[in-house]
Amino acid sequence: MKCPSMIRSALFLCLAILWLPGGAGPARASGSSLPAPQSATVPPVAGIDGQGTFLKTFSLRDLQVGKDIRLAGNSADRSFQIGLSPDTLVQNALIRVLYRFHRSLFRGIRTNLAVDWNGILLGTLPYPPENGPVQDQAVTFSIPSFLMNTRNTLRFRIVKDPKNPCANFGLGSFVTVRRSTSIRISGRKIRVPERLSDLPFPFLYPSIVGPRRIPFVFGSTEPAILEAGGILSSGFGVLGNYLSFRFPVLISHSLSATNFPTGHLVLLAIDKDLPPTFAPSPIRGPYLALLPNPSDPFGRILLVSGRTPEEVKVAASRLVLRIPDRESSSTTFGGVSLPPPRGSDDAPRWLSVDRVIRFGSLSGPADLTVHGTGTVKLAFSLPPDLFSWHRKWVPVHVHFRVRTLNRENRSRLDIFLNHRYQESLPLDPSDSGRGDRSVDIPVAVRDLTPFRNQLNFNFNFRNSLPSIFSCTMNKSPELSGTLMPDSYIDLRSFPRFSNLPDLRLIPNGGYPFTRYADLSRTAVILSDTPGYGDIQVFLHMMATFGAQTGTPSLRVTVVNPEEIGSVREKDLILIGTYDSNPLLLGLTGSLPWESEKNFQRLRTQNLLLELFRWNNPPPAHFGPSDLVSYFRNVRMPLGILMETASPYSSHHVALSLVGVSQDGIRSMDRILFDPRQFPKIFGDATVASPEGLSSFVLPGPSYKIGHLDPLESLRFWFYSHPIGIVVLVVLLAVAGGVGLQSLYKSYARRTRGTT
Amino acid sequence: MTEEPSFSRTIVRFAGWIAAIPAVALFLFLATIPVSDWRTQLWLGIAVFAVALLLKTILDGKRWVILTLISLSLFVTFRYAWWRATQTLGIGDPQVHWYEYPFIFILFGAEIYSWLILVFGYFQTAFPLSRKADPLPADIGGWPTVDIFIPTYNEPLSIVRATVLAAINIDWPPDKKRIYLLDDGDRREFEEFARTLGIDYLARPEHKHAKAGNLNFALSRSEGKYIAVFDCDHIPTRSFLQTTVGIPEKNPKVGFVQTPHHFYSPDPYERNLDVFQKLPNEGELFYGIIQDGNDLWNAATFCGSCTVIRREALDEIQGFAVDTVTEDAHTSLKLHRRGWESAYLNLPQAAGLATPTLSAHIRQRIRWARGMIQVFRIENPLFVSGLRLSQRLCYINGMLFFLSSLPRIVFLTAPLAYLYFGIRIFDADAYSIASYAFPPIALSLIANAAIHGKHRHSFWNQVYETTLAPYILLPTFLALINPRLGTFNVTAKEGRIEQAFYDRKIARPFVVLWLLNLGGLISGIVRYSGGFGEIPTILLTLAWTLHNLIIVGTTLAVSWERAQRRDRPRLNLNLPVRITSSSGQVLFGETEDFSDYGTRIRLAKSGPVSMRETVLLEVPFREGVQGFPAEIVGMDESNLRLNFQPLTLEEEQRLMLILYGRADAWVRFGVAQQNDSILKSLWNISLFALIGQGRVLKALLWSSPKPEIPKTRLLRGPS
Repeated sequence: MKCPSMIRSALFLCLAILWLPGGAGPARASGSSLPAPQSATVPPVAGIDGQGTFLKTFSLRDLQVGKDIRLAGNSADRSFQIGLSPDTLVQNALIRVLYRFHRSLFRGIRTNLAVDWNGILLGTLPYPPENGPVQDQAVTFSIPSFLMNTRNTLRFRIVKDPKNPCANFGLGSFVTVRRSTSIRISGRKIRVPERLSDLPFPFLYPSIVGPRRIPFVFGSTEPAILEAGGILSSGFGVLGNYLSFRFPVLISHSLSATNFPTGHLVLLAIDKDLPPTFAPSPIRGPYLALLPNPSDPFGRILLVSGRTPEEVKVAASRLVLRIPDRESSSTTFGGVSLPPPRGSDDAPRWLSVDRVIRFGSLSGPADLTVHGTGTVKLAFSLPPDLFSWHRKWVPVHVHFRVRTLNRENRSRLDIFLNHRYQESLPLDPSDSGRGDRSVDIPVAVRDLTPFRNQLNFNFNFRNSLPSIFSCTMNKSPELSGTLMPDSYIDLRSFPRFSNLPDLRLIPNGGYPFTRYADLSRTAVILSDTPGYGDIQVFLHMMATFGAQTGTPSLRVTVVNPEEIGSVREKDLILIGTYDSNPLLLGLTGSLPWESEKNFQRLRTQNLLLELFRWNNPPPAHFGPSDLVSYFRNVRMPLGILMETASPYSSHHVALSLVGVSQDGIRSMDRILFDPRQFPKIFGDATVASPEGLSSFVLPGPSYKIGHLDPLESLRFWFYSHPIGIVVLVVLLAVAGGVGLQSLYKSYARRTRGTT
Repeated sequence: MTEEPSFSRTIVRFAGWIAAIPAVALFLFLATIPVSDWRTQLWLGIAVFAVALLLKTILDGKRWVILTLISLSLFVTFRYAWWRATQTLGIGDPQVHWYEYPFIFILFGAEIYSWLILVFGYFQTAFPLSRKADPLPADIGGWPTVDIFIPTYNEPLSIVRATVLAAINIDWPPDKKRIYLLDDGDRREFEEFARTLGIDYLARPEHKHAKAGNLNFALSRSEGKYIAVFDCDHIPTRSFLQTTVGIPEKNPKVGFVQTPHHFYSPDPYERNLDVFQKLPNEGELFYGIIQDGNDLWNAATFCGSCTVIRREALDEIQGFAVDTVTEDAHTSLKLHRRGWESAYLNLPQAAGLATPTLSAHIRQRIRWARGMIQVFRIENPLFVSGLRLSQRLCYINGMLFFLSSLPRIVFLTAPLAYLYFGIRIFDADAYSIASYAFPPIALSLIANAAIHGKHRHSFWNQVYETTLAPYILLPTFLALINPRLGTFNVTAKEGRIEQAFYDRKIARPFVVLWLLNLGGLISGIVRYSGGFGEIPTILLTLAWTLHNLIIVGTTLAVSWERAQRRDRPRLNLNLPVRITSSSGQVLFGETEDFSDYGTRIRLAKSGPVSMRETVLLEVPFREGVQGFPAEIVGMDESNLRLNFQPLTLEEEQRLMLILYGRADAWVRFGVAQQNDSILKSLWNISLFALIGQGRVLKALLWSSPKPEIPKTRLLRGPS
C-alpha cells in the first residue's frame, strides 16, 4: 500500500540531493553570519572592531531605490531620507556619486546638478570634457561630521544656468544618477544605557538605512521558546512597519559568557540554560533584562527568560504587549493577561470596507496638505481577500481645496495609484485665488494590489507661460493644495471572497493565516531539531505577519511533526527540508517531479485541459508541465514554497516551505520577503533559485472562503468552468431550436388555416 | 371533443412560455459571463462554432437546425455586444484621448445597427411560411371580376405590348376580366394599340402622384372586385389569376396577394460578372426568403406589381398611397394598419426585365431607399396604431435596411483611422477584439448560409450594400430630415449597350473607397515592417482592410458594363418544332433558345434550306400547333437561327403565350444551381475583386470613350 508513496519519497530525496548546491553536505556557514548577497554591487557592510569604531557602506539601492535616477524636466529634484543609528558617532563620511550627463541640444549651457546634505551644498557634479565620450563618471564628496545626524536628507537638485533657465527641459533626461551611488561612514560606537524603557532601541531604530539585523540566540528549540521568538519578532514587525529585517539565529545548548556573537542581540532561554551572571538565581517568574554583551563592550543583550519555556513565552508576550516603563535593566513579571482572541478579518492595519475609506482616517490633516508643488501620499492596506474579479474601476471621491495665483493657470492635480497614472484634474485659478472642488474619479482595479496600496495626489502649479519659459513648477508657499478629510475611496461593493490556496495572498497580507490576526488559527510545524534556517524563516515570517496585521502573533502555535494531530483544525505552515520535516513530503506530493514520462503526462493533461476547459487552464507558461521543464533548466534551486488545501481538515491551507538545505532556506528567506519579488509569488508553487522566483499554477483541491451573492457565485462558477457555458448554451440552443420550430409550426398552421 | 386538444395545446403553449422566459434569461446571463483571458474567449467561440458547423454539415436544411444555429449566433453576438458595450468604449479610461471617442462611438453605432439588422433579419426569416395556392370554386360562374392594371409612363410600346398581350392570354372568364392600359405618357400609339386589342385605355388629364396617381385614376374608373397590377414589363403567365385569386376568395380578410418579381434578364451584377443563373440574383433573397418569412407574421409587403388587391381594401384606405415614392410598401402598411391581411405566394407567375445597367439599378434603389425612409418618417411602423409587434418589426427591418449606407461606409473605412493616423477605434487589445468579434461573424455566416440556402450566397449582401451605400446616403439623410422632398423617377427597364465600357461616373465613389483602403493596406504594411504600433493591432486592421478591399473590388468589377445587344434576352426554352421550307421540305428539331424576335434550333437531321429563306416554324400550341413565319438568318450543319417575320397580333399573342405564358414558365428559372458554400463564396468574390481592380486600373490608365447609351433617366415631378 505504501509502495508508491515510498517511491515518490525516494524520488523527491533524489531531487533534493540533486538540488543541493555543491552536492549534499553540511551547511557551510555558521548561524550568526550571513553569506554575502549576490545581487547588490555595493552591499551594506558593517564592521566593528574592539575599540568600538565602525565602518559602514551603503548605496541608494539600500534606500529601496528601484532603478537609476533620471533627472529631467519635472523630476529635477529628488530627496532621500537617510537615518543613522543613535548608538554611533559618525566621524567621517564620504559620498561617491556615480552619474552620467546626457548630450544636450543646447551646447555650452551651464545647468548643473547639485548634491545637498541636510540642506548644505556638498558640491556640483563636474561636466565631462567637451566632445568627450558619454560615459559614467564618479565624484566623491566628503560630508562634514557635524552634518551627520540620526535623520539626514540627501538631495539632488538642478542648478539652472541663469542665462538659459529652460534649456534641456522637455528634451529627455539630463543626468542619470546611478543607484550604486554609495555613502561610506565611519566613526565610534557609543555605549547605550541598559534601560528597558528605551526598548526597542537599540535593536530597532526605524529610520536607519538598510535591513535591520537582529540576531536571536536560542538556548533550546522547545516549541514554547520558538513561539516566544515568533512573538518577539512579530512585535518587531509591528513596530518596524514594513522595514526589511534579518533575524540571524544561533542555537546554543551550552551558553557561556564567551561564545556570544558581537552586537546587539536577543537571547531566549530558560534560567537553567543561562550563564551564571546573566540572571539572579533563582528567578521568580518570567524575566526580562537588558545586559551588556560579554563579547562586545558596545553590544547589548535582550534577555527573555523564565523558569520554564512557558514563562519565556509569557515574558515575550508581556514585552510585545507593553514596553516596560521602568528605567531599570531587568524586571520580573507575575504573569500576563493576553488580550481577548481576535475575530476573523479584524487586523488593525486592514481597512474596513464596510464603509467608505475616508482620507482623514488614513493621514493627519497636515499630511493632506502641500505648499507649492508637491505630493500628498496616502498609503493604505486593504483586506487581502477583497474580491475584485472582473471589475474595472474603484470610485474615489476627491474633495480638495487649492490656493492658486491667477497666473498659475496651467496647474493641475495628477492622481496616481501605486505609481500608475489615473487621472488629471485642472486646477483652475479663480479671482479669489481659492478653489474648492469635489470630483468623482474612477481608478483602475488592475492597478490595485491585493494588500498595500498608495494613492499619490500630485499638485502641480504651473504658470501660463509656454513651457520653454517656465520649466519648473512653482514651489511658492503661497500656493497650496489640500485634500479634505471627507474625500474617500469606496470599496463597499467589493465582496470578501477568495479561492484558496493562492500564494499571491501570502506576500499580500499573509492571508489566510492572518485572517485571525493573532494567529490563533495558525500552527507552525518545525522539526524536532529545527535548523537555524528554519527558525530564521519562521521569525521573519512572524515579523512580516506582524507588520501586515499590526498585531503580534501572540497565539501562534509551534509543534513538532509528531504532534500534527493536535493542530489539525488550523492553517498550517511547515518549514524545513525533506530530511528534517517528513510531513513536507506528503504535502508537496502533488509536485510534479522531473522525468520525461511525467513531463509528457502533464503536457497531455494540460493539453486536454486546454481543449476541454472543465476548469480554467493555468495561464501560459505557468502550468504543471512548465514546472517540470523549469526544474530541468534551473541550475541551482534553493527551495520551493507551496500552498495546498490542508489534508488534515477541510477549509484550511497548508503552506510548505521546503529548502534543499538549511542554507537554501536561508537564501529563500532573503528572496521571499523582498517586496520587489512579491509580484512573482502567485499560484500554487513558487520555486526559489538564485536567479529569483518562478511561480506555477498546479491542479489540486481548492476551497472558497468568504461570501458571494448567489448570482455572482454562479457567474464565478461559469467563469471558472468555461465548458459549462458552452454545454449549457448548446443545450439551450437545441432546445430553443426544437421549441421554436413547434411554436412556429403551430403559428404557421394558424396563419395558413385562416387563409 | 374539439375543445380538449385545444385546451391541452394551450397548456403546452403556456408551459412553453413559462420555460422560455428563464431559458432566455439564462442565455443572456451566460452571454455576460466574463472569461479569464482572450484565449478562453477564443476557445469558447471556436467551441460554439464547431458545434454549429457540425450541425450545419450533418443536418443541413432541417428547420430546427436552422433555428438552433440562429440561437447560437444570437448568443455569440449578444456576448460580443455585451463585452463591446461594457469593456471597449474607453469610458473613464485615461489612456483614451478625447479625439478618439468620436471614432470609437461612430464604429459602435454602426455595430449597434448591424446587430439590430441581424436580430430583426433572423426574426423575419426564421420560418418562411411557404404558402400554397388556394383553389377557386369549381363553378366558374362564381369567380370574381378582376381588373388588370398596366401602368406605363415612358416605356416604349415594344416593351409594353408583350405585357398587354400576356394579360389578354391570362385564363379567366372573359366577361370577368378587364384590362386597363394606364398610359401616363398620353401617347397616341398606345391608345391605338389598346383600341386594336379591344382593351381599355386610360389617360389622365393631369399627372399628379406618379404611378400611384395613375393607378388611383383607374381605380375610380373601374369596378372589378379585385385589381391585378403589373408593371408594364412584367409579363404574366396565363395561370396568374387562377393561382392567386383563390387566396383572397377563401379568406375575406386578405387584402392583397403578392407574387415574386421574377426577372428573365440578368441584373447588372449577373451580367457584368457573368454569373447569370449561376449565382442567385440580388432580388432572390427578398422574394425567396424574406417575403415568405414576412408572410408568417402577416407582414408581406405589396411590391407594386404582380399583385392581386381587393378593391374593398383599397377603398378603405382611399386608394393607393400617394405620399411617398414607394407607394407600394406604403399602401401595404396602410392596409395592414386597417387590419387587412396579406398573403405571399412564392410562385413566379410573371417575369420582367431587370434593370439594364448598374446606374439604372442604383437609381431604382435610391428611389426605394428614399421612399422607405419617407414612410419611416410619415407613418413610422413602430409607433402607428393598428399593427402587431411582429408586423412592426418586419416593417422596421425593411426600412432599416435602407439606412445601411452610413454603417457600411463606416465599416469600409474604420480601420483606416488606425492605419493612417494611429487613432484607436476600440479600447481593447487586438487579441480580445479578434476573440470576441470573430465568433459572431462566423456564426452569422453559418446561420445565414443555412437560412438563405440557394437564395443568397455569403458575402454578397456586403457587395450589394456597398454598391448602394455612397448613393443612398444623401437621399436617405434628406428624406429623414424632410420626407416631402424629392421626385419619383421611373426605373429604366430596357436599354442596349452596344459596347462594353467602364462606367467611371458611377464607379467614382468606389474608386475613392478602393484607393483609401489600398492606401491603408500600404500604410499597414509600412507600420508592420517599421514596427509603428502594436503588431497584433496592425495585423487585425490589415485583415479588416483586406476584407474591405475584396468587397470594394467586387463592386468595381460590377461597374464595368458588359455589352447588351439585345432588347430582350433569349430564353433557354426547349420545344419540339417543325420547319417547313418554302419548297415544302420539312425539318424537325428542338429550340435551344427562344425570344419574341427569333429562335435557335438544333435540327434532328439537316436538310436543304438556305440563308434568307422564309420558312414556317410550327410549335405545339394548346391541342394543335401554331405556325410563325420566319427567316433563316444563320445556319450550320445542325443548327438554324431564325428571325420571325412580322407577325399578326394574334400570332404575336400566341407567341407570348408560348414564350412567357406557361404556368410553369418561371418556376425553376431563376433559382441558382449552386448551393452556398461560405469559403467558395469568399473565393468567388475574391476573384471578382481581383478582376474588378484590374478593370478599374485598365479604365483609369487606358481611357476609352463612353458609348452612347439610351437616356433612361426621366424624372417626373410630384405634381
